[in-house]
Parts: sequence; structure tokens; C-alpha cells
Amino acid sequence: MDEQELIQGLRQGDEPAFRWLVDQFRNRVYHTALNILQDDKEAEDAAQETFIQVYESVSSFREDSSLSTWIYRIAMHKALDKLRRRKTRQTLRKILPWWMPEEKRSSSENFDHPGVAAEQKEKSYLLFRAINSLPLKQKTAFNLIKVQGLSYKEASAIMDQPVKAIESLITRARINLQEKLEQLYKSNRQ
Amino acid sequence: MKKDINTPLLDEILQDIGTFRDPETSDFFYTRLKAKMEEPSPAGWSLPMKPVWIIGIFLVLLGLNSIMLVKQFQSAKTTTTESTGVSDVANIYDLKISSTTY
Repeated sequence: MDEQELIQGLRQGDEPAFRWLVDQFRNRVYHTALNILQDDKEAEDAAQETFIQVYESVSSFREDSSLSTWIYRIAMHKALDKLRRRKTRQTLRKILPWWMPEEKRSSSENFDHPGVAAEQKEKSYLLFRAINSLPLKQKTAFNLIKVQGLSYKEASAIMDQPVKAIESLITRARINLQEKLEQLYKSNRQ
Repeated sequence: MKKDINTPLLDEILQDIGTFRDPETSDFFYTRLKAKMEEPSPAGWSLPMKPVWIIGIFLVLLGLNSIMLVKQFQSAKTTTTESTGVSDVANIYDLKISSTTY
């Protein structure tokens, strides 16, 4: 299905067009959310909310970017919103432990990325622990480019930042990750 | 131009892991999505019950209480100063002030 036909179909509320869109993008959208949230249930929620927003706001989609960029952008914002809310809940839980119930999160310190081969799991745990310690923008840029394999140009369109800014984020992310990984390796040896 | 930075450990890990495949969503993803779309309203905290609002209201009340306490303390201090003034005047004019009634 061609992108214009798809957009037209979505604007007319055509269910097969929506189903086709979900089938085409669901794994990629889920991957974006999963890398940011490192929690499979929250990532699935974020992915579903992304498609709901796509369905509800496709009529206001201005087509100044490709449909996939727009979908990725929504997914990124949904995941970042969930991450911020999680952090707020964690802060509140520290202040008012009797009021905020403990959450049953499906992720642990060792985030198990489902797209990594079994023999590389240990390295993947360390890498994602290090990624989790990065500032949000660096984390998002690194995930989009180095984990999801998108180009700098695509990441720049999704994050609404110039390519130069994305390059700078990746450089800083790499330096920070190198330092964090060295620390993690040292503490693992002790 | 990209700066050449030295990150051997990171590069080695990324090289070993290779490609990160897109993880697959569950088979019921679309069914769950449709169910969610048909839900009447999103679940969660309603506005006045949001923790941030309750804490905000609590802090405002705490602030108001503190202001009231400070004001009360200040007015008590003024009353003491006024009564001291009256006894000073009585002393100057050598008047005997007695609270005893006959």
C-alpha cells in the first residue's frame, strides 16, 4: 500500500488501512518504547497509545515529514512521558512511602533485550544498564541510531534536532557509556 | 566533521552483540489495541486525586498555617510592648497602678 493511499484510508477511518499500519509498524514502535522504558509491559502500553494517537490525529498530520517519522516521534514522546511519570512516582514513593504502593515492574536491573542473541546476554545487560544512566536526549539518540539502526537524518527528524546536534549527542553518549562500562566491569570483577 | 573518540570497550560490546533485532509484540497486540480504543475513558488518577495536586494543596495549607502562626506571635509581642508602655507612664508620673480592688 502506498503512503498516500494509507493516509487517505486512515483519514476515512478505514479499518483495514489501520490494521495494515499497525502490522507494519508495531514491532518498530514497540522497539522504540522498549529501549527507552526497558520494561515490556509499559512499552506495549506506550506502543498501543501511539497507535491510538495516530488514529485519532491523522487528520491533523501535516505531511511535513514521512508517516514513519511521525509515528516514531509519537512513540518516543509516549515512552518519554511514561518514563517521566515513573520517575515522579518513584520520587513520591520516597517522600510518602505509605501512600504510593510499590509497583510490580516487569523489568529488573538487568534489562533483557529480546532482540539480542542468548550468548551475548551478559554484555547486553551491562550495555543497557550503562545506557539507562545516560541523560534522556543522549539515551534516545543512542537507542535510535545504535540500537535500532536508524540513520542520523532519521533520528534528527524524529527528535526534531539538527543532524549536528544528534552527532554531538552520540559523541557525548559514547564517551559517557565508555566510562560507565569501565565502572561496571570493575565492580563486576570485585 | 566527526571527532575521533576512543571508546574501545563500547565498540567491542556493540560489535559482539551485532544487530539488535526488532522485538516482536504479542499475538494479541491488535486485539488489545482495539479493546483499548473502545474503552470509554482512560483509567488513572482523576485530576483532583493526582498526587501532585494533593501535595500542592497540603503545602499551600501548611504555608497558610505558618503565616497565621507568625501573625499571632507578632500580635502577642505588640500587646506585651503596649502594656509595658502603660506601666512606664505610671512610673514617670508616680501613679500607683493596682489591680487589686477594694
